[in-house]
Amino acid sequence: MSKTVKVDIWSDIACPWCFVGKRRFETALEKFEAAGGDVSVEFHSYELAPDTPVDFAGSEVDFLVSHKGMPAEQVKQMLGQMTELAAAEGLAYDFDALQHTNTVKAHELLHFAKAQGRQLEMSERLFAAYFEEGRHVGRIEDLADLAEEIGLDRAAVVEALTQDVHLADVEADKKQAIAYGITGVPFFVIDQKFGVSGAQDPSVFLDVLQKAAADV
Amino acid sequence: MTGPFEMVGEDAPLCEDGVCALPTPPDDDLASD
Repeated sequence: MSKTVKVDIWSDIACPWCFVGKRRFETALEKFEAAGGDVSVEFHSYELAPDTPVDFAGSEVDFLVSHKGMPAEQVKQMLGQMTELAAAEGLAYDFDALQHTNTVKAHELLHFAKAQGRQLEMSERLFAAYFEEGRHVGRIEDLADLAEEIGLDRAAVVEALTQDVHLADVEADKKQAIAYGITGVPFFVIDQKFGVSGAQDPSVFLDVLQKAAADV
Repeated sequence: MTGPFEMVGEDAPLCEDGVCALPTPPDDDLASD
C-alpha cells in the first residue's frame, strides 16, 4: 500500500466521546501503519455548546443539570459510566476536576498549530488537559501555556488568539460540517468518500482505512 | 445521515447538540440468555 489515506475528523475538545473515539481510531491507525499503510490526519472544529461562557461557574454536573435539565443523580451516574469506558481506552477522565468552558479559542489554537505542522500534538494536549488534568482550555493565557508545553511560540499564540486570527477557519469548519450534514461528533471523513460517525470500535476504523487504501 | 458519504459502521456513541449519548451498560449483552 502506498496511497496516502486522508482522514478529516470533526470533533470538539469538550466531547468525551471524541477523545475515546480518537483513541479507538489511533488503535486502528497503529495496525494500519504497521502493515505499511500511510495516513494523513486533520482535525476540524465543531462546537457542541458555543453559548457556554468561558468562565462557567460550576462543575460538569452543574452544567448538565442547568443546561440540559437532567437530574443530578442521572448526570453523576452517566459521568461515572463515561469514566469507566474512558479508562478502558487508557484515559483517566476526571469530571470532578474538569473546568467546563467555551472551546472556540481552543479550536483557534488547533488551527494555529495546524499552520505550524503541530496540530496532532496540540489536539492530544488539549484533550488530556481538559478531561484528565482539570486544566482550563477556554482562556487565552491557559491555552498559551498548553501550546508552549508542546513547543509552540507562546507569544505568537497569545497574539493569534487575541486577534482572532483563526476564527474564520473555525467558522469555515463549522460551515463545512453543516454542508456535510454532520450533527454529532466525533465524525470521521475518509478520503472524502467514506463517513464514520461516533466512537466506533477500532475494527471499523481499520476496515475503512483498508478499504480506502485499496480504492484507487 | 450525511449525504455525500458512504457511511461505515453501526450506530456508535457520540455527542450531539451539547448532549452526549449515555454509555451502554456493559453487562447487558452478556446477561442475556
